[in-house]
Amino acid sequence: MESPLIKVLNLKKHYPLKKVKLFESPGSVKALNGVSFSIRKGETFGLVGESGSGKSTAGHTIARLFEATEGKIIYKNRDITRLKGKSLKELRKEIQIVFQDTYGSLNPKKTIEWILKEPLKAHGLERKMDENIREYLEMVGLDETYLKRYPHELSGGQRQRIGILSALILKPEFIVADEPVSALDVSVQAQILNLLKGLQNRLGLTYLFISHDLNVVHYLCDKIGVMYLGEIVESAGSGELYKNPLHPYTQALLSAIPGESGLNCGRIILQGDAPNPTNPPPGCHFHPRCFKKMDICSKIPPGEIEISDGHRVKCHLYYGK
Amino acid sequence: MSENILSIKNLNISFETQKGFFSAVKDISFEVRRNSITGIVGESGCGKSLTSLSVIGLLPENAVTEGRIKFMDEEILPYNEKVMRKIRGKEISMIFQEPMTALNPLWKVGRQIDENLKLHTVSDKKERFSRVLEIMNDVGLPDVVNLYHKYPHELSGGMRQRIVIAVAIACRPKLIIADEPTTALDVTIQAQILELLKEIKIRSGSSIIFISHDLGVVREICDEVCVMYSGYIVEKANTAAIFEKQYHPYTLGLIRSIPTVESKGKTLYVINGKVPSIYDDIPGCPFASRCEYAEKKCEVHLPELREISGNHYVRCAKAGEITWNRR
Amino acid sequence: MKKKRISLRIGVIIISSIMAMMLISFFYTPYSVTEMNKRERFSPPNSSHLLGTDNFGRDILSRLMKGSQTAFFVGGVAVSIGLIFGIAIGATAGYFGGVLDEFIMRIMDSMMAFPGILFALMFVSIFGVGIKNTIIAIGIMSIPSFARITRSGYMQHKEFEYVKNARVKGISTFRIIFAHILPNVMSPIIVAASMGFSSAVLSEAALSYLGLGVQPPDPSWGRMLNESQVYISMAPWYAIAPGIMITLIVLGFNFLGDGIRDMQDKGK
Repeated sequence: MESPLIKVLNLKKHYPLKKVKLFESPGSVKALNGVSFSIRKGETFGLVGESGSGKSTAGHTIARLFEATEGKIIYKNRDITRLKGKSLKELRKEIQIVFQDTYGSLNPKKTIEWILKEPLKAHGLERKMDENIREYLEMVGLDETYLKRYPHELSGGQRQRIGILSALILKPEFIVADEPVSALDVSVQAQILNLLKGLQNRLGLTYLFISHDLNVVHYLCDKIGVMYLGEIVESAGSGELYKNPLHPYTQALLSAIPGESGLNCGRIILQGDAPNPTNPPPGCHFHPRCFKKMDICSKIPPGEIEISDGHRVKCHLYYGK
Repeated sequence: MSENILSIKNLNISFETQKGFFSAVKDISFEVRRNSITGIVGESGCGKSLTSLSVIGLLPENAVTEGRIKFMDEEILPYNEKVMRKIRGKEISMIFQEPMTALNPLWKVGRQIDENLKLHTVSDKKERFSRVLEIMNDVGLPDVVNLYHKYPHELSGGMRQRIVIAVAIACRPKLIIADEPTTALDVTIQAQILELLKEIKIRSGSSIIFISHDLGVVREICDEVCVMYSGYIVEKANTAAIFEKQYHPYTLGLIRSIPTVESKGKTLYVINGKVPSIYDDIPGCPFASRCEYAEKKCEVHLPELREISGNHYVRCAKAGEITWNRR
Repeated sequence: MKKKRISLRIGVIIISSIMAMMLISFFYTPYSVTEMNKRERFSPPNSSHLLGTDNFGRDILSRLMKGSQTAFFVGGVAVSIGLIFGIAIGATAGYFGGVLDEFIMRIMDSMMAFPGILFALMFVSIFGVGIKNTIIAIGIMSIPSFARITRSGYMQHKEFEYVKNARVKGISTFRIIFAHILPNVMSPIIVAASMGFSSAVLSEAALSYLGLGVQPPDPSWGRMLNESQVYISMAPWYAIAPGIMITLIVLGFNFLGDGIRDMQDKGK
């Protein structure tokens, strides 16, 4: 079998909290608590979860926006977890991020042209810069007239096209798309999803697609990982996950999609909110909200088991089956 | 008393700005029945929020309104600030999108609910306290006595939105305006809040105007739906009817552009072009430039909002003439 | 809405008229600033000396005009020193944060806690009296306030996604700090610079008044004020003229700063 383009092994990211008491060691926010998955070239892997589940942290850590606390990121059979300096800068040409907030991710005081040229200059790619930019502008469905404008003069959809373009300009192979359509209107969202899909086919890109919207993730992704409190609780091919969700949390998520219910078993309304990642509950993190809770759940954290080919779940319900 | 709690007739809202005169809401008419949830859906900038603000009399100062707004058989337009202040909070209340900014960060959450009661109904302090606890219970908050003394930042997003709802229903209003109340929330929390709103409708008999950009949410909770585009209501019917059959190509386009299980692997339907600028003066149908069925007449004549089948209204010249392609 | 523009207008009018006066003084003054005239000592304002003369019979108007050069020179250079070092220090502290930030900001705090005039006095007495050292002293004094404002801007902006975006693109930290973030945090710094200008002028006047700033016979408003006080009862116009000028320029820059701030607020 072909080896995956990127492989993430037991990735952890903990943010230390500020020290409040003198003799107590301050806790840490366990934003990412042992996440593993791999993505093959040309595939799209989706991470779904609610706010605070660590899905964005995962994306940003993999794109090396900051360093992981523990674990490994293997890109093209090379450990990139602790790259620094020049080799990290070289890696930037291969891995890029598309951000959610199109207002915040483009420098408000600079023209689109300046924003697009900046990364090329940083990597000494000034040759044929103008032609390059023009070609890519066309690819994302814009034209040269946009170059002289400022981000605030564009609509949300146009700004996101520029956001995607600025990620593509260095010709990366792997793109982390961090909620790229969440802030957009429905009709614009469809445009951007089509664009992302078209670009993938044309340029052979590999995506890590992060979203809270299950419909969108299912539409775009080949495989999906469902995150809860810094862990992937279930992962499977997107069709399989939709048809046969195993983890109670996944079931609740699917049933909570408003409109047509994804499940036939009716709506599951979870109690309460996701707990604070500073102090996650013992045992299975999901047990306080779980509707299929057993005694063991509050004591022992469940390990991951593979139910069928590529369908993994972390839940006590499936032990011994 | 009529069956409608609110009726809006030919409402126009326009603004005079430095860039010129523009109208944001054009010729809007709809009714909210007693004990029902009316949804207003549309994309950003379609005028849905302004419409709701006009009901509660909180439009920006430079807004010019025309038309009639009748609340419980009483004309409230032109606004009388004295009357509105009595109505606001007591008869009509509002739930905002962002629960963090809708609450005063320096007040304990109990006091925020208490304040509304003090202003409008109960004067006795002890009675108010027990009433506040009761309301907090009603919106599904746990451990209310303890929670009474917490500050908004100590609560989670879902709990905060419950507090906002508690403030809104404190005086048992006849009409609640919910402006994207679940947009800032997670899916599982959204499901909780939608459930709560439905419960409130049933239990207290209030009517709700539910504003959203999310068709799925609207389908879930509303009895009646108005679809807005570029300041106009383009389609209006009861929820079941509108999701069964869309007569306006914009409504259809919106529904088709949401990814579903069936659309996997296919290119998503896209409404081409973009929403016209509010400064453009379009004589014809505002959607004509993006509509794949548009003809010459669409560009010059603004179609009327007409009844196409029982209580199903649509603002499209060609509606009913042809059947739109579904997928 | 129109009300808000008033302070900007007043500021611009005052500052541009003082500036015009300075520009004219390069080519023309009614009399030479150093020319003494024993017969016309202490002559009150009249048609040949519009603002009267001083104890050496020098024309006060001419000296005021020349003095504006000193004021702008001192203000301009001192604020530039403060800006350059303040931005560099504040940006470093704000962007990198952590221990470095703590260290730098504690130094800035102690500088702020030290009385400015006392520092200038010490500085001048160590390195010698003169306009050059006065300017340097005033410039150093203004570094902490610029550093503080810059730091807070950077602390806020380093979390923005455009900065993350730039980092992911492999753009160097130096360039992110100065080419990407700086234009975005510039507006409050500009306001502070305008206010800083007025306090620099004021400090120069104070130091010159104490005899530590500009040395005779170069004209400086503070110096003129110093020299006039002996004769205040017999020639009040001598003291009033530079006093009004100092007030005007301070007021002008403060109005200008306020006006710019209002304009920025409205822009949001």
